[in-house]
Amino acid sequence: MSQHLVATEPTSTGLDTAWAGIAAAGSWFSGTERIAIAEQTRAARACGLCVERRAALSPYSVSGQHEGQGPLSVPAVDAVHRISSDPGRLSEKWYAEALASGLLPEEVVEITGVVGVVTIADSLALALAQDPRPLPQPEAGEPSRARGPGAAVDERAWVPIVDPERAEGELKMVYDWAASGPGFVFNVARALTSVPEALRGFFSAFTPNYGTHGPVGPGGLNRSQVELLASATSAHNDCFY
Amino acid sequence: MRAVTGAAEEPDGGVPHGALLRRFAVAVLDGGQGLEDVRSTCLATLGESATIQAASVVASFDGINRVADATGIRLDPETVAAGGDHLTKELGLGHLASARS
Repeated sequence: MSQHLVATEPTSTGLDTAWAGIAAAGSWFSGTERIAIAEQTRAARACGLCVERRAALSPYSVSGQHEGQGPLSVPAVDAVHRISSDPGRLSEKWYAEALASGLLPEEVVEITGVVGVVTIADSLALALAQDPRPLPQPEAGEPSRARGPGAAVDERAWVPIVDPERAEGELKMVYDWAASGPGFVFNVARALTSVPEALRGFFSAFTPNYGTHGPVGPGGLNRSQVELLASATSAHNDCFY
Repeated sequence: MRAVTGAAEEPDGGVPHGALLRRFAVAVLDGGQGLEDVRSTCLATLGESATIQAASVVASFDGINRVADATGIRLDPETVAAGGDHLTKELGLGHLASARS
């Protein structure tokens, strides 16, 4: 019988905030659609097409349909499944094809933010021998469809990003906070800036658990142990970051 | 760095309980295969608080890896200057699409 462990209070609070945010309308998806993104993030782990693609030399060599569709478009479901189940083989070609299939860059960003939050929550639950969190009920409301001012594409990412000097309001506050420790803003924080809700939601879940500067947080692991865990995770996921 | 990939001659790679922590991370990322055993070992060796902290770090990086991969971000210039690109190559991750500039 597994011992069920309990996350620290900052971790739980951060995840609670991010989890509640999934249910609300975002910039490009309604609450119902965002919950569907969360459901598909989970469904991707057992999806027959995803399993077959992961085993293939190239994910492009296997075609078919993902299991489960719901209210999302076919390109949106495919993006969720690819990001969730085979992130290490996402490429610029994949991103270009996602846009060519009809997704907006900001929709890819918003999908990524939700997949990221669900991944953190579910991996944590698994690691602590807990049941996965039940998904919240979607809230009413329409997506704002508002583009953040100053978002532009350059050589630092496929997706548009808003630089700190162009950031306004809440985004500027987030940038100031992100820069307060290391003295600069990591590109991974810039990656979600074209959809402020995605930035806020993802880093609500992420930040309580890891920081590059200052104390490593309560628990007793030292900096070298934390960095080993972070690097081992990235290496296992075939992620350079 | 070899401790990260499990290729170190000395399994902990100079990091206290490094091999155990790596096994814990891999078990979580592999969907729970062997996780119960390695979690029990972590609890017995590191204690509850450190095991929970380890779980939080692995889960967070499992999430942020997807953000990095899906958005095509590059390594930060500051990270490159601090040797991050060397680290990427040493980990054998230099071939990855999203690491290419």
